[in-house]
Amino acid sequence: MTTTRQIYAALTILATVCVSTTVLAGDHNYGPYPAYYSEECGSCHVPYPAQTMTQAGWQTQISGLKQHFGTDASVDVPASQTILSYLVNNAGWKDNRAPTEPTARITKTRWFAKEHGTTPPKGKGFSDCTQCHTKAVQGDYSERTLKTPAGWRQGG
Amino acid sequence: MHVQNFMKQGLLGLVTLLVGGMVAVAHAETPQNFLDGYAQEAKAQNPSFKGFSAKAGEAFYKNKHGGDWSCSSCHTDNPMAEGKHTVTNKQIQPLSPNANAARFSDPAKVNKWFKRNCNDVLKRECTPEEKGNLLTYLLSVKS
Repeated sequence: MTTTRQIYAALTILATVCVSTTVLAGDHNYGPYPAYYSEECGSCHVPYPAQTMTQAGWQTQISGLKQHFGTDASVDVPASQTILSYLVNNAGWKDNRAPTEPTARITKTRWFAKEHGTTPPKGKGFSDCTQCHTKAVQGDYSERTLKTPAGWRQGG
Repeated sequence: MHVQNFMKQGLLGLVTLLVGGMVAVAHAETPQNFLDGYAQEAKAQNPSFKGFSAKAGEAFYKNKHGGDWSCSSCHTDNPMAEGKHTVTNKQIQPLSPNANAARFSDPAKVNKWFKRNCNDVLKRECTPEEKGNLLTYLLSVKS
């Protein structure tokens, strides 16, 4: 009897965890990020969610940090291995998140273009997610925290 | 008895090593430590090196060096102020240790950012003299 109860209790906990994980994923919440990820990949831009690109895309990014979109963003070997394994373990898996050009820009994936269009709001850049996703630094990309500039329409 | 003493001494030595190591890891550097280090390196490279100059550091900070950027492109003309990444708009904490105590306290971070940013601004590594001049300038700015 006790054993059955214990099994039920364990199952309930497991179910709760699964449901809350699903809710979070559906809510576009990708944080909190590991501290090293925010530190290493969040000093020059917001730390982008790993889910926005496929494993191949992240491999391209991390192997090319010495020339990272016009700047030297190199990190030492142990740090780059840690970062890459975090990104690969959490990478997006759908085809529309695959890179479409050699530099593997997130903004050039088919998924990004579909969600955001190809022209950022006037005077803003796509690289700065916080312009519209006000809690992007924490990994929160939910509708609740989204504030697009007045008059902006996807695709500009 | 003899063996016990030997083991005691060995244990003591081990504890000393461990504690010493922990202290060394936790020890934060000061800007002066960095200046001393750069001065030593500068002297080794150039025996006629006389000392760092805030004026040369300011020129180094504000001038471009053949590329599109100067240090001040992102850190602004005032190293006591917050800066902004020119492409991503990301906020950058003040560079001067007078405004931001975290600056020039962690050798790994200092080396990482000099390596990256010198490459971006000068397309090469910075010399110890350039680093020392720059830090001397950063410490001379009070407001």
